Formats: sequence, structure tokens, C-alpha cells
Amino acid sequence: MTCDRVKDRLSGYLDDDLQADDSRAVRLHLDVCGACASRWDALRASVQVLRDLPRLVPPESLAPGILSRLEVEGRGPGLALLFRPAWNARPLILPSLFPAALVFVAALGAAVTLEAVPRFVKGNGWAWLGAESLPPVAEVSAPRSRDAVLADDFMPPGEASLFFETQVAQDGRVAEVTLLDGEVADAGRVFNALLRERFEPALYRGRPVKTSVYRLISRLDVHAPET
Amino acid sequence: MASEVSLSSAKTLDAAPEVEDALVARCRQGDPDAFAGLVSRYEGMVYGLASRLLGDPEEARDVAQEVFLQVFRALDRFEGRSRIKTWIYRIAVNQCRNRRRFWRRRVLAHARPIESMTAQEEARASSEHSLAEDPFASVARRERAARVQAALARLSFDHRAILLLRESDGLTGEEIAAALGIAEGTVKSRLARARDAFRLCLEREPGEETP
Repeated sequence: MTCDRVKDRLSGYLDDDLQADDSRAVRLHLDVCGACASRWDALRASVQVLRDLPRLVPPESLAPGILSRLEVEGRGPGLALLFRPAWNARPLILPSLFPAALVFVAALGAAVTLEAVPRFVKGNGWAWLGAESLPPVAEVSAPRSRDAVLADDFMPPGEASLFFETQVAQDGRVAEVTLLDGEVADAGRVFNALLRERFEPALYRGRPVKTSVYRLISRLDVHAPET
Repeated sequence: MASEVSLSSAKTLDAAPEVEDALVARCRQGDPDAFAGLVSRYEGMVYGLASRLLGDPEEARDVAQEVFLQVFRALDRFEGRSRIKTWIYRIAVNQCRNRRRFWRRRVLAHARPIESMTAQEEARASSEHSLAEDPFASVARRERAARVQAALARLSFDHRAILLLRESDGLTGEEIAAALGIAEGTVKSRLARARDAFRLCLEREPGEETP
């Protein structure tokens, strides 16, 4: 018998669990092979230390604690759940998800009803359009100024160029004016005039929507080239 | 109580099957004395296995309690195809496996390795040793036990479980198969691999790579 075959049979040999022929062959091999005999000795010794391990015992009897817990469980499921260890309580997460899911669906439904409805947007298919959603620009009418401000009247003398964004709210009031480009020192009076401006709000499918108007106000002194 | 339990060797556990059956029947009828008797008979077996499997006496105590609670809850489903001892072993191994998975994700600041057992616990654990044992021999034995536990800790859970059931608790191949829920052929091959791995772990210094 080869060393490899002996090695595979040592555990069975230890348990006296081999066929008689195999057992005899292993015994003969161990008599003549020092490496396998050494392995066999180490195996026997390691198993023996396990067999010699002292039996550990609990510091005190477990029975009183177990019986009192069983008594608690017998009183009703509520208290028993408190005494469950965390890993046994994990299955409870699943049933608790159902009310959570119901609340989530109800909240989602309310949000959809109040703030947004699914609409078919041309070219984009169905989309959720809520208060924060932007409709396609092509389908929004431009806001019209009710009292056209002659911004040039408020421009400072000399060359100046100012670029403004005016945010028009759904009721036509100016919500915000932002100077996007130009000198702040030149913009003061124009800025105040633009804030007082009133608009017919922009419309999207008949509903007034919030929009922005961008305007470049410029005064350039043009001089004929000297000849 | 503890001294009684410490003597709960394989001989005590291997009571006649009819005695076991009678105890189980009384437990099913809700007899608290029978419950207490069942716990007393098997708590050393469960606690000892859990201590060696988990390497933490506090954890082992919790697990042992859970094992018996599960035994009592599921006693009506025990069909008697295997012995009650084997059935309890199976529940104990599964509880240890689950506990190990659960706690592996957490750092246990209070975890106390089994090598750090107090002198009192160690004395109780080794009550089968002579009370007049030479102090040097006692130290050597404790060091050897710690080394064995360290080597066990380096094995996989499955290898540790099969080794403890076979070598420490002395279960037969058939009992191990029932306790672990595997075929008897698998018991033999797994046991051979586990013995080999344990031998290598004992030979190597702690910190070396696990085979």
C-alpha cells in the first residue's frame, strides 16, 4: 500500500473502521514507513488531547432561568417577544413591513394627487409633472409685460451693458431679479424698475406656470470713424 | 447542582431509552419537574459543546438556555426516530451556528475567551481530576487545554463541531450523522479531514495560516 492510500485510511484505522485486509495493510505499512508512522503518532496524539479535554459545566444550573422564561412565554406572546434574542426576532421584521408599506403607498398617493400627475409629454412619453417639474419650453407661452418698463430710461449715462434674469411667478408678480452680467454699480435703478414690473403669467396647457425672462439692456455710444 | 452536572459524563447521558422516553412523555404533559430533570440531565452536554464551539462561556450559557427553550417549544414535533440526546445535539449545533453568524458581525467588547476561565470555573470543569493534583501539573494541564482550544478556534465551524461530537462527546458515526443532518459517509470523510486539520493546527504556532 502506498503512503497516499495509507494517509487516506488513517482516520478509519483509528476508528477500527477498515476492512480486515485494509487494516492489515495499513499496519504493515506503518511498521516499515517512518513518515507515515510519525503522521499516525501525531494523529493519535492530537485526537487524544481532544478526548482528554475536561467537560465544561455551567456556573449554575440553567433550569430555574429556563422554567421562568417558559412561564413568561405561557402568559402571552407580548412579554415573550421581549425575551426573544435578536436573531430569533428577525422574522418579526417581515410582518412589520406590511403596515410600513401601506403608509408609504398612502403617502406616495397623496403626493401624486396633490403635487403631480402623470402626463404624456410630447416626445418624452409619460412623465411625472409636479410642482418642481419643468414642462417642455416649446409648449409654454411667454409671459407678457403689462406695463413695459423702459429700462433704457434708468440706464446710467455712458456705455453700459446689463444682463438680467426676471423670475415671474404664477400670479404674474416678479418673484426675483438677478443680475447675471454687468456692473452692479450701474444696475441699481434698473433693478428697482424691473422688480416693479407686472406680467401676464406664462401658460402651459392653460395653467399659469412659473417662468424666467432674460433681458440684455445695453447702451453703446457709437462714434463715426475719424477720417 | 454544578457538581452533579459536572459528573454528567457519557455514562449518565446514556440512560436507558425507556427512561428517556418516560421523561420526554412527562415533559410533553407539561410536568415542570420533568422539564427541570431534562435540563439537569443535558445542560452539561449542551453547555460544554457550546463553550468549545463558540469559545466564550457567557455566549455558551445564553445558547444553552435557547437550546432548551427551543427543545420545549418543539417537543411536540419530536417524533422519536432518533434519541432525545441526538435531537438536542442537533438543536445545539444549529443554535451555535446561528449565534456565530449573528455575532460575527459585531465586536463583542465583553467577550471572554474560554482560555480565560477563572480558577473556580476551571476547578469545576476539571472536577474529574484529582483534588490533590500537583500545582505544576495543573498549570501544564491548563496550558494544554488553552492550546487545544486555540487550535480548535482556528478550524472551520463544521470541522470543530464534528471533532467535538466525536472525540470529546464520544458520539457514534450514526449519532453524528443525525446530529449534523448529514450522511454517515460524509461523517467519515469530514471527520478524517477535520482530524488532519486539527493535527496541523496543533503542530503550528498560533498566528500561522490555518490549513
